[in-house]
Amino acid sequence: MTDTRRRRLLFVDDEVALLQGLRLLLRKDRGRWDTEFVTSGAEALAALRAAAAAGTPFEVVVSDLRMPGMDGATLLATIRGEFPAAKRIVLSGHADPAMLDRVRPIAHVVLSKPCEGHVLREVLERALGPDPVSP
Amino acid sequence: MTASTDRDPRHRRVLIVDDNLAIHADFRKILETRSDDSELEALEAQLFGDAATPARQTAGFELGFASQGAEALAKVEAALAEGRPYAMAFVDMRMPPGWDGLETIERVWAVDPAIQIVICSAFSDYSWDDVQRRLGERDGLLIIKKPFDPIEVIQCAHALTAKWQLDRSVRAHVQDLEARIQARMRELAQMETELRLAQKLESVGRLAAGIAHEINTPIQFASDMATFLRDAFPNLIGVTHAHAAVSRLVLDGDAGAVAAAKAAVAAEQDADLTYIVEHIPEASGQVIDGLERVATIVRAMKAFAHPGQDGMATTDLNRAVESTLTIARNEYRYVADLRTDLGELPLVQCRIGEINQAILNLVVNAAHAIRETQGGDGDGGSGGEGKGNIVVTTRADGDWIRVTVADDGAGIPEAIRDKIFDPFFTTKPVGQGTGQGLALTRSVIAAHGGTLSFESVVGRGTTFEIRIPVAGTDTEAPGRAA
Repeated sequence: MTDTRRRRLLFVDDEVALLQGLRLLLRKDRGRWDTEFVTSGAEALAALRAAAAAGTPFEVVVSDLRMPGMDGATLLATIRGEFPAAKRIVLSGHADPAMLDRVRPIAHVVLSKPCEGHVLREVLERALGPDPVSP
Repeated sequence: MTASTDRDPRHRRVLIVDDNLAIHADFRKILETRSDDSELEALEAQLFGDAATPARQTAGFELGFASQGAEALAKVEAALAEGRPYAMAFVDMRMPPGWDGLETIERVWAVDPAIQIVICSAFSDYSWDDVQRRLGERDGLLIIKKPFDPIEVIQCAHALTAKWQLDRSVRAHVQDLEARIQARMRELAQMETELRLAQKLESVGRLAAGIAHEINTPIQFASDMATFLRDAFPNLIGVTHAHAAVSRLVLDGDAGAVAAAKAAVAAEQDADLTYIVEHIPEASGQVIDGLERVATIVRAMKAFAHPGQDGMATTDLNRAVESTLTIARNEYRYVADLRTDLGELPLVQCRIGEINQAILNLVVNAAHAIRETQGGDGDGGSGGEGKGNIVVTTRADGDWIRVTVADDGAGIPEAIRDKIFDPFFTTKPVGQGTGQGLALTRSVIAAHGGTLSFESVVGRGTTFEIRIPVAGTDTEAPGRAA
């Protein structure tokens, strides 16, 4: 299998239907991307830590902002401290400019919902950069 | 001469109404100051008659003369039109061939009710009782008997012209006050209209952000699922074609059928067929759900805004409550679970736009009260362990409808309970909230002939209750018409 060479991406949103939409959208990228979907900040941190411990860290995290419990800004700030190598992308339906200003310094890219599939894919490709040369 | 009296703020015009010209001369003597030409003027009056005699200034009195009732009336009217009305008139009782004194007074008062009158009577034509019966009980009337004492006349003239002046300035003062009160009322009404608008805009602005969020999410996942379906179709069709080709080869007895079948099965693998087939029902279902969610929100916005319907209208209040909660969802869903308990209600007469706004205000306040207890940063309660609860209840209660919004939030401290309905009172930081929400909610409910009340326990929560009559009382709120 090519599993060992697949890039790992983590998606965080409290809306299950939204995660399922992303899962189906990115199904055709399954050959190159290994995607995981969680519904809260706490689950996201757990998944990141588990992946790092297993030696297969996530390279990109895509997170919503407004979520019950830990919000997206807090999550991304934590990730920046704990997993500085992971690229942080916001995908939010939130229109409040103050909120967006708050996260801009701690996110590499801020995307607004709704975001077209091909735009999201391009942003992910850029965030991941070129595939590392296979050993 | 009149020019100087115009400038005299204490100008006092006195009209003498008597058919006897000798009496005119008597009045002139009594009320005039000594002056060198007075004799001459008296002569002139006798020669040319009273009508030709110009009014002249005397000891503060400007005299006018009429020998008939109708002439008196004409002079009073002319003086009014000129803006220099008579302060008082001495009126004779018997003035043949025209109107008698009483009729003259009635007609004069009909055009100038402020003028003070002294009846001069040589005969007891009418008793005081008769006079009062004819003219009504008024304080602007005195009677002196002929032949009169000059001192009496001077006293009457001074007293009544002074009284007339005082009446006039009091009336002017009252009018001025009334005008000021009217202006102030208009200002207040205008202010209230503006405040209502500001509050409405504030909530529309906040709602707009929330509604965008509510709509963006289903659009995102519905379009992602639709993209998946679109991309899946060519694969599905390719595999279908491959299998169709196999079928034809088999029917033709072609030996290549087995190889073609192997290729078709391999194509299934490449096309991710199993996964696609497995997820098509879910994806198409979610597309429809997503669109339905958007449609629900758009319908609720329409119901909430109720364009073009500002008046009283027959309303399904439960449906209105549901619409309002749908568009307010983003305001509470991160801090609280909201439950509705909607009882069976008759149709209600109300201005639904205002009632929607009132319910919205209460729900937003409830969410804020809960957020306070969660110590969140206001952006989704990062410190929130477990959500609070909001319960919205509707009940029919005789001729009344009750709508309650209950939260298990912070509760309202005792010290501010009597202030929460005050305009501009707010516990929110500057820039958040106009402090008009509850004040306007209460005035809106009051305008429906209803009441807004609350019960609160600090640390346990607050319940607000709206009561409005089913039949609807259309008491326009002040300022609405402005």
